[in-house]
Amino acid sequence: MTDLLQTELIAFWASVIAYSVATAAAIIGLVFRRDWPRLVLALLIGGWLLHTAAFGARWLRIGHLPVINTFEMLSANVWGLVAAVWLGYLLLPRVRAFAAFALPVVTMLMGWMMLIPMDESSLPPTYRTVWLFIHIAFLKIFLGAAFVALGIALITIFRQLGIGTAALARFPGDRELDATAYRCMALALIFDTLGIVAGAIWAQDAWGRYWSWDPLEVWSLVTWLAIGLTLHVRASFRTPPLTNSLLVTGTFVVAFFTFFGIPFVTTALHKGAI
Amino acid sequence: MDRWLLALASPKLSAVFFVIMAAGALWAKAPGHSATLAMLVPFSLLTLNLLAAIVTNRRFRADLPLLVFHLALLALAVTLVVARLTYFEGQAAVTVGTSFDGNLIAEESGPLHTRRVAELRFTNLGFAEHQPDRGRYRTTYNRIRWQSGDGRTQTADIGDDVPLVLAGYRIYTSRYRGFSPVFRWTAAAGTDEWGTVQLRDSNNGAFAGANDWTLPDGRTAWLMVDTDDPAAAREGAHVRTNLGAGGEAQRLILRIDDARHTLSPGDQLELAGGTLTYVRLDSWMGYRIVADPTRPWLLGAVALGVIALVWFYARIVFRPIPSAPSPT
Repeated sequence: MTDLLQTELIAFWASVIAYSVATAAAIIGLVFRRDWPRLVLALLIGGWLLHTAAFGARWLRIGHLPVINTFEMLSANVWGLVAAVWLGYLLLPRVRAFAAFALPVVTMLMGWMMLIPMDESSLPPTYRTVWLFIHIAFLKIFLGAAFVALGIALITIFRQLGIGTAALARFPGDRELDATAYRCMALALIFDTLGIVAGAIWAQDAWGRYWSWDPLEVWSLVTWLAIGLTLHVRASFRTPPLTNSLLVTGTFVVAFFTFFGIPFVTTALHKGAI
Repeated sequence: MDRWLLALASPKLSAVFFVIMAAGALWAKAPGHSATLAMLVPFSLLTLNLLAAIVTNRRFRADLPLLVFHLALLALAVTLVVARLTYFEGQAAVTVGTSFDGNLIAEESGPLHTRRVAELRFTNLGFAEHQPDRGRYRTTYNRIRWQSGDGRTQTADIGDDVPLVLAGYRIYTSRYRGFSPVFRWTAAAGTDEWGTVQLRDSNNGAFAGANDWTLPDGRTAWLMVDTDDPAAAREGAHVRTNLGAGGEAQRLILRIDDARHTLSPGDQLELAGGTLTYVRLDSWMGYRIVADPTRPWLLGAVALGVIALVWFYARIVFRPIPSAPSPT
């Protein structure tokens, strides 16, 4: 048990350092127009593998998926967001600058995480179901896709506002960025829908009702509507990239509040859950 | 008419209704607000807008996955309305060894719910709470007996998330449970009457369970289980059966008017109208009984919608992005 705790702590702190250096490298690379894509990618993947090891050690140590208390939720969300960043970095090489905009959010979350005790959680009986894994996996993919879209949208917004125009000039045009962000938001809508549906099936099974109007459910509905609105506006009105980027950013803010605000201002993750 | 239909199908209205619906959902979250009421108007407007768009917008007819997705949304909207009209939710408490007799502590249902809950019969055979070595969450196993449609006796263990499904109703144990002392009342005429009083939930032993009670002679009494330290909790993994009732002799505090009595099992109390005998301490389990006949339809509509959504966006997501020149 002590070995697992030691492994968890070492791997966790090593991942924090790797993420921080990756963030610094991505920002410095953008500002000084120096590209270190291999370094950033290696740090992100290396840090993420270490974080996975920390996550796994904790899982083995406490005997259940560590996503229950505040520290575990933050850690799991950081893990998911970094996975999205390195996947986006690999799959969308033309818009890699998005990492410089997205990674500071990860750093901020890590800073928050460090202020929280690494307490061990206990699992309510109703959480012992495969739907916990399905629900969380879909929502992590949703948030990751929206996160990549946010990073891409911020390039457009900064350019349109005239901030760092010279540094951002070498990246693809706003139309291409907009098309890429739109694809990410489409993925976000699909996985948010799947996540909400999986949660509803789980709730129906475990508590007899698929929807309880608890704060997290309400905000997840608001998030879903925000994504729907973003995609609907772009598809129906052919809005310019700046408008679409602002909508993507607004949607991510709503999603961020749903994921990181609501669970910390209510007494239970889901009102009917515990 | 066409002009109105076209106006109703406006994508601008869809965008407005999205925002109104989000505002309605946030309003519904506030305590005391009705979610049904909050969502009625935005939901109806969005449904009408969707219907009008499907009828008037040629793009829907030209794009099958888009059409299927919006039809699935429409089906989901209709099914959700039917679900609100036909749902049932109730709470009951059943003492160990006795049967549910159709009496509910609380209930709510949609106006079109066909109420058959009073016909349900099941017997509470006792329950066990498994406390793990670590953590505060216990698992409940409640043995239930009932008769199936063919008249055969069945038993099963249900729990907080494992229901018994009976005649379309799903029966779960709730987190509420408590003591239930059994009494015999011997009237002056010599007739015996047996009964039990369900004491209030003790919040897992945080305080002693108690309740008011009207005696067979019409007087009001107050009753509490007498424990030296109600908050005392056992450490480590353990199993507790029926809250520990029925094991060792458990005393009761009975207060009638200004008189306070301490009773052990078997003790008798001579009262003006008859003799009250404290027979034993039992326990009761709370149940949540829910029904939603639209469940398979909801799942079907959602599955269809998700498939159509994936189908629609898969063509866009995997389409190559045309390269555009950099702005400078």
